[in-house]
Amino acid sequence: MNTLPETTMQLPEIEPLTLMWWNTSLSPLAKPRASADDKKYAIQCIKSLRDTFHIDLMALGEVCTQDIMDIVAEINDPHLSYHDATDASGKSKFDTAILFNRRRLSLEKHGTILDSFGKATLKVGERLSFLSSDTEKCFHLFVSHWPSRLHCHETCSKRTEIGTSLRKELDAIRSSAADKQFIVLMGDYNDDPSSPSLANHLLATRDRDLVRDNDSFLYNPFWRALGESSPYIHGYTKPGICGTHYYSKGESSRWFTFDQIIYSSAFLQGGPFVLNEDKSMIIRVADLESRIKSSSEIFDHLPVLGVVEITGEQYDELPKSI
Amino acid sequence: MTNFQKAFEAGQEAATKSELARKEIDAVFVALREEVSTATKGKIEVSKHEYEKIKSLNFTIMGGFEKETFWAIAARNPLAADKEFRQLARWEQAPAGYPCKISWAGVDNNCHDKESLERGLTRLLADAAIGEKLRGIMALPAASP
Repeated sequence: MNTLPETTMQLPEIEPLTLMWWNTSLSPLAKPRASADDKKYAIQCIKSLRDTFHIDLMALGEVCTQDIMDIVAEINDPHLSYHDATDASGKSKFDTAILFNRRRLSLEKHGTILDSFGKATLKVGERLSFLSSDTEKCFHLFVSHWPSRLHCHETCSKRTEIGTSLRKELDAIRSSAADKQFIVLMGDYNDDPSSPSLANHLLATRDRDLVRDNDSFLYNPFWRALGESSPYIHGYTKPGICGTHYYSKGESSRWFTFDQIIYSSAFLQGGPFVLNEDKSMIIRVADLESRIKSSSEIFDHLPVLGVVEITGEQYDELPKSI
Repeated sequence: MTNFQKAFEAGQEAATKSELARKEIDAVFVALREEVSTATKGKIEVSKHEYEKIKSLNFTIMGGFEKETFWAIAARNPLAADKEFRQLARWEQAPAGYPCKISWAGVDNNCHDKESLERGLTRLLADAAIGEKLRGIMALPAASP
């Protein structure tokens, strides 16, 4: 009996989309303060992280336009694009930028969300929509650098208002489309995952099942990063971390998990973008760790990584990409 | 134990606050309209204006496409032959008054009180692109006497 030969053709594997956030400390509020050596070190870190983790999109905090120019020039990759969201011209200063691999992502739309209270204007976030060339699907990105706790305390009502404003933006995206929306939020929130602004107002929870069942909630894997990086074992002396930001004058902890990458429910539901939580983490660079603990250094944040798998489900719809 | 009286009083207090906030917002727009009208010798009238747009290409049972409404801050020249309002920025207002949102040129500005609303509207008027738009409206041919 003749049988049809078994198909051995294998579909090429698509690299995951790798995202990174780092508050570089170079130019807080877009005002340059880094020495030439500091900048050289930061650029070296960015280049090395980009190469090691194959980063497709990195959002940077505390940068000015000149920093972005210098970083892009040093990386010297013709496929690297950037969006400069800094603004040092007005009374309110903004200091974030987004660098991305234009072979895989194209920036479709962007905008700025501001919250004003009396004379003060705070930036809720920079909103960007990217089209993935692997999936031909869109995802939304919100990059935030919320005000420092020195100027706006954890319990200050402005923080909860910012969380609510961001929530409303997400609600508007969700209600404008019939299908589930892929939304990533990243940044330095100057709040821990458990803070009311993020947990109660933005609704970024640690409960994956709740997020899967109810897309009003967001999944925040950085709840895991609130504690020590490894359990205590007597005699085991490898130094640990318990956060992304180190502040030597912290009262009850010197570590804070202010830097986070948060995902909408769609990332937990299969195709075309799926969160790979196993590879989403705080990036530990030994030299940077020792620098952030030193009072003579400007650096005080570790970078965080987010990995999103591109699922094979899309191949059925995209034969031309094989 | 459920305290309906307290809940009722809280609701009434919130309703009063909302009403005051909405009146305050309307008063800011009255001041805006008057000041801009004076500055332009009556050639620009700025106000909140409701618009209609097609929501989807689905036909409704009444016939026609499904529509929705939205609000915008708009301007017109009451002295011109063409008195149509032109949109300057999108406007959204919470049922309680604040926050209200002014959106233009890729910026969504949520204003949480009277002062921030006044500052937001000032920024809008001081924007170069809005300035050009208003100049165009002022230059519209005058209505025949």
